[in-house]
Amino acid sequence: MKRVLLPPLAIALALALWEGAVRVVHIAPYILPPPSRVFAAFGANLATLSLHGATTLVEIALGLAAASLCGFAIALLLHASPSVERAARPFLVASQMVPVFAIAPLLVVWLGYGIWPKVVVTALIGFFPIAVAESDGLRTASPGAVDLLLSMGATRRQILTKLLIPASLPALFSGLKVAATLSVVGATIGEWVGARRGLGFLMLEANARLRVDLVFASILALTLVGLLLYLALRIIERHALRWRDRAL
Amino acid sequence: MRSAIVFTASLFLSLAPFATHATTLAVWLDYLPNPNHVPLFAALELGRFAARGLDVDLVVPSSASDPAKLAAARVADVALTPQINYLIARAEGLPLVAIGVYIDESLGGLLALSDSDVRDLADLARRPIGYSLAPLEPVLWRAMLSCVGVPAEDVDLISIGYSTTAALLDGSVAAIGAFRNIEAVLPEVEARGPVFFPQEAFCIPATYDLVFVANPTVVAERAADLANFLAAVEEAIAATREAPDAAFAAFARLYPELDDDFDRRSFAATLPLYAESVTLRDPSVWQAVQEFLAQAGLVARLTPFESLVVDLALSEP
Repeated sequence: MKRVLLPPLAIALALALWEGAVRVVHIAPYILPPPSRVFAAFGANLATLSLHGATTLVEIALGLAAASLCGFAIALLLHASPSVERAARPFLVASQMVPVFAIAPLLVVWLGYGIWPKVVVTALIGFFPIAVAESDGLRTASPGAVDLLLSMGATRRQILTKLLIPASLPALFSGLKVAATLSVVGATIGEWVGARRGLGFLMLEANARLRVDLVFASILALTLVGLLLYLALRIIERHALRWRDRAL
Repeated sequence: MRSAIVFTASLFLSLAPFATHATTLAVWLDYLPNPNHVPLFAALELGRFAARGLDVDLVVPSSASDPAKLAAARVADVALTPQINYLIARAEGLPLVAIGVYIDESLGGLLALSDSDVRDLADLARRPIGYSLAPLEPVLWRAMLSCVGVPAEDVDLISIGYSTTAALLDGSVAAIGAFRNIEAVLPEVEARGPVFFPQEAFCIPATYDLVFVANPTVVAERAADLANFLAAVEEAIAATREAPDAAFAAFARLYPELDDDFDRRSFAATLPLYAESVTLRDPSVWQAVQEFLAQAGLVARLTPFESLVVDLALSEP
């Protein structure tokens, strides 16, 4: 019971502290609105937030899917050839050092103002944790199990599909969960540099109108989208890793 | 030797009460430093503010919506902001009042290129139009297109951040919201033949492009400082008109990266647009702009001129 109640209690306490601090210090609502005002703005603008949220959710989903495919493929490639891995790692790490804000406007110029720049930015941000996690995960299989399969005449492909990839799934899901939260940031940045719709776009418009309560309501909506994705991945993970729980 | 040191120290300490301390004034600009700001930075560099006992800090905002907000919150003593942005802020209940004008003409409009097939404003129907500053720009451009008979459903506006000129040059958009003294005079745009549709020619009332605003409490507490500041700004604008090269040189000493042909041409385009008088005395401009914003749904009701503006008596140095 305590485990179930602790997270909502912690959230309630944080919100109460925020509300209290804003009221006691008399912070202007256009600088930092209290949570009560944010929730009121969320309720009053539910239709608008839903409309823009649907756009952002599609961008995130497509971007995360692209990140997953690319990250997984890169991890397999790195695992297949140690030389390729040594050559590619600096580029992989460097890809994460470039500020996404610098790339995003270029993507918009190259790909236009439709959905694809947002998908690419989201994928760029998300592929790295998936690639790293899966790459590490492919190494977690027991060497003894590999030797056993080799002694039974298994091909490299069979070892990969029947042992290494299943063994890497816990790590892969860790990477996916990190990528899911980062993909929310990616889609938002993509919308900031060129969009007609989306929660990032709505945040810019609300900020320009000094509707900081709506900015925070948009952030709340983004948080809910991120949480939804995270929970969805947890459910898929639990289903995909039933064998691990049974083994334990 | 020790007695000499003690004597010298005592001398300086005894003079301390007579040392003049300049009053600090935090003035937030509307945007990144650009040729619009030449008189302000020239005033700073040439000591005009200091001559009036003011230690002015010209602060660059990270976002165009910050200055009005921060002036309302008294983080900024004074903020420079477009008149329309100020009226929207007042409509949202921010405690602000306008104390002076800096650029008393409209600068904005829609910019297309002559090598596209845009000849008249109506040619932009169903064509993508890029903008960066909401909510101001969407309201203005929709009104302009409506003025030439383009229905709302045929207006395609896209928020494209600050890469507006790149988007125009590569054809991603057919037109962009632009300033006649900035984007329209860029060399890359001039090479392609700019087609500029000034907003005031298409049903948009004349606006003050940039006004100074402050929190009413700051105005009450520091009226003399603000009057001194405005007087220095008015002198700086006059001096800039009389000796534009010297003013630009002073600005360029502070921002050498803006000392290039484009910024000099942008400054030349801006020179006739600075306000001759910084005082705000024409209610008709405020009435017309508020009526326009009310029609666009950006303000709920009209605010009396006396409540929008404070006339600070400008002082001699």
